[in-house]
Amino acid sequence: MKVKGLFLKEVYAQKTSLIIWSIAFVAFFAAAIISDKTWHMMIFYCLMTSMAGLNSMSLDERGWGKYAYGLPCSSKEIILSKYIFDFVWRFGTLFLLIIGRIIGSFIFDFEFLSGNCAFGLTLAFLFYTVVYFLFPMYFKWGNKASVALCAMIGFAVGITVNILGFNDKLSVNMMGVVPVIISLCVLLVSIPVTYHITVKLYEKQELD
Amino acid sequence: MNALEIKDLTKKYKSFTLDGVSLTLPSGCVMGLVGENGSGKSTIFKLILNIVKKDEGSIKILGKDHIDGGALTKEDVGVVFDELGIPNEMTAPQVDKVMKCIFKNWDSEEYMKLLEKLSVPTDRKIQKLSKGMKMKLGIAVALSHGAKLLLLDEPTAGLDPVVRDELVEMLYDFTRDESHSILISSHIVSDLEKLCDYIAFLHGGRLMLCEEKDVLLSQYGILRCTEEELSDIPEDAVKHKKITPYGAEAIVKRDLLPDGYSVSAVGLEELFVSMIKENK
Repeated sequence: MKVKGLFLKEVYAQKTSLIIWSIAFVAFFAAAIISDKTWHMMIFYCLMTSMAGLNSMSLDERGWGKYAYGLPCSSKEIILSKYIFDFVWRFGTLFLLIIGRIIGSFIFDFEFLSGNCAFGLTLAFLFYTVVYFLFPMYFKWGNKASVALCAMIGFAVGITVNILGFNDKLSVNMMGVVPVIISLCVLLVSIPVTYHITVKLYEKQELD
Repeated sequence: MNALEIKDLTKKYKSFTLDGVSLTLPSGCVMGLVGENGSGKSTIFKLILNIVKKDEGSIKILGKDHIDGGALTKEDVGVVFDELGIPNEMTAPQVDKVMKCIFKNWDSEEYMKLLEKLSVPTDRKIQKLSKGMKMKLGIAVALSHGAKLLLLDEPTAGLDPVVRDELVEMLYDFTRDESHSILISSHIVSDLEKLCDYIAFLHGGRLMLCEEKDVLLSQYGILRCTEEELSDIPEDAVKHKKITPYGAEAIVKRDLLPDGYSVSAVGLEELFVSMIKENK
């Protein structure tokens, strides 16, 4: 119940951003239905959806972090609510993209898990894994951890340029089902690991 | 039972040390923490809530250790800081939905009544509210979950006198229940004078005194006399003196003053300033 309240706080605190991102998401959803060749855009979609979770970690700098210590909530509940909020948003939109893909494969008769789609999913899972490891950093250093995010954007642009330039070369290694499964497993492991790191940081932190 | 018991509380920073502070706030009472900037008032609140970790000492809230008691203890505590802390994007009804899930004893009806009584707009985001309205919202939240102890760190800072008076009235109403207690800090000593049963003076991280307000005020008085008359008074009796071309004014300890002098009542603010100056 307490986690539900904290979850609601995250939603209300970022409502405006979520609405804007949802509108932008419509473009990604439409692209997933109508085209088999837009999956290299996944990195930009991932960046957009990851902002909600990263914001929820860093927004606490602005007073709520201190206020939360006066609430009857444990450190685990506070961090868990952020993880659930992030999970629902990131994986909810990813689920919708996959639904879009299924719809598209029926309407336009392309293969569901084509090389492009597999590569897009692998990138998304790897990106999400890195974002999970950014969570403790954002929690500890707030927006100062943006340096790490900038590095990730560089990584995203680099990968995209790489795909656009060397798609055929990359397709040899990255466009199968195996990388999708491996990256998904890595992602699933990263969630509890980073959650525990963030809880420990919360318990050790001292606010000014 | 005591609402709050602090024993030998110590916290060391590089440039400041809160040094062995001990305070006891009995249930049903209001204690005011007074001290200049950097005297350690906010540090005490942070230590009570475990926002910063204590180096030494113990803190008990309503008879339970402030850390071991955890969530159970905090159900009974209402907190207001000088900044509201609730996200600016939220509205007052959204705060209700969040707090309803967080506090077991959250009373939505009471919360909405308080908002109406305090004229806090319910259709605007917090960022659109004035500083006074934000503070009223914070107090409404603190008073809507059956708290027995209120911890208020500079709740009247930056507010105009009318809003301050309204807040003080609300807190006064809260203390009518004998199980309710308040620990409040403020620079505005006149607010504390209206509200508090006990006064604790902090200076440079040390507790200079903690005394019942009425006892404290009855111990001291203001003596207005000539400079020559003042020089006849024992030094121990004079807490602080001010010589002007029109005569002398001194804050004196009544029991050390020789007979025959007429002393008027001293205000808490004058006493506070004199104590700080005496220790500088």
